[in-house]
Amino acid sequence: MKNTATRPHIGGGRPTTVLLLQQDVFIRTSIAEYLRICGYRVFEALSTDEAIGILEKSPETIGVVLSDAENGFALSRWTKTNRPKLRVILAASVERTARAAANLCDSGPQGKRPYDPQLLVQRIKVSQAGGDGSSS
Amino acid sequence: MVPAEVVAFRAAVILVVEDEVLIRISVCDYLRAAGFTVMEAGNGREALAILKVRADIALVLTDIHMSDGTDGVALIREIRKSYPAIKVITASAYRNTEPVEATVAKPYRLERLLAVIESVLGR
Repeated sequence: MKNTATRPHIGGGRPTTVLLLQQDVFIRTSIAEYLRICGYRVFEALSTDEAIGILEKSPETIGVVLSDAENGFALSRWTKTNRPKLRVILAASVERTARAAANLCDSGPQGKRPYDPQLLVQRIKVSQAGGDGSSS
Repeated sequence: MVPAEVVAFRAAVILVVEDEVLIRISVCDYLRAAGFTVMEAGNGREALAILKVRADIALVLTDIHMSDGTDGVALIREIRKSYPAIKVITASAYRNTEPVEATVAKPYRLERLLAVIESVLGR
C-alpha cells in the first residue's frame, strides 16, 4: 500500500471523516484501508459502545457512519436522538459493505474508488479464511 | 512536506493494540499523519488475527491490560514465539515484565511516542 506523508484533501480543507463500525476485524481493517486510500480519514470502532464514545467525545466532525447491521441498528437508535443529521449506512454483508465503501469513494475526497470492490471482497474473504479473528 | 527519505523510512507498518478507543484513534491518527501505515486492533485476539494474515507488520505497539481474553502479556509472548522479527513497544500505565524493545509509560505525549518508535525502528 502506498504510504503518503500528507493526508489528501479537497480545496485545502479538512478531509471527510468516516466512522467505520464493524465487529469483524478482517472486514474492518480492509474496508478502512480502502477508504483511506481514497482519501478519507477513518475512525474504527469494534462495537456500538466504541462508536458512541467516538461520536460523543472526539472533537472531530464525523461525516458519515458505515456500519455492520448488527451494531448499526443500535447505533441508529442513538444517532436518531443525539445526532439526527448524521448519515448512517448499514451494510449486512461483506459484498454490501464493499459496495458502500466504493460508493463513498466515488463521492469522496479523490472522487474515485481505488479499485473494484469485488477485489476488496476477495481480499477480505481470503483474510477470513486465513485467520480466526472474528469477534462473534 | 516530509522529506523523501523520511517517507521511505516511515513506510513501516505498525500495529496498534489498545482497548481504549479514544486513545487508539488518537495514536493511530497521529502516526498516520506522521506518514506511517497503521493497523488497529482493539484487543490481543484481534491483533493475533491480523498478524496471521499480514506479513508486513514491522512493529506492534500494545497496551498490557486489555479485555477479551488475550491481554498484552499473552500477545507479546505469542509474538516472540511466532513472529520473532516483529519489534514490540508496550504503552501502559502498568509495569511490563516481558522482554520488549521499548516501554512507554502512560500517560505519554504523542511526540514522545513517535520518538520512541523511530528509535526502535532504527532511525
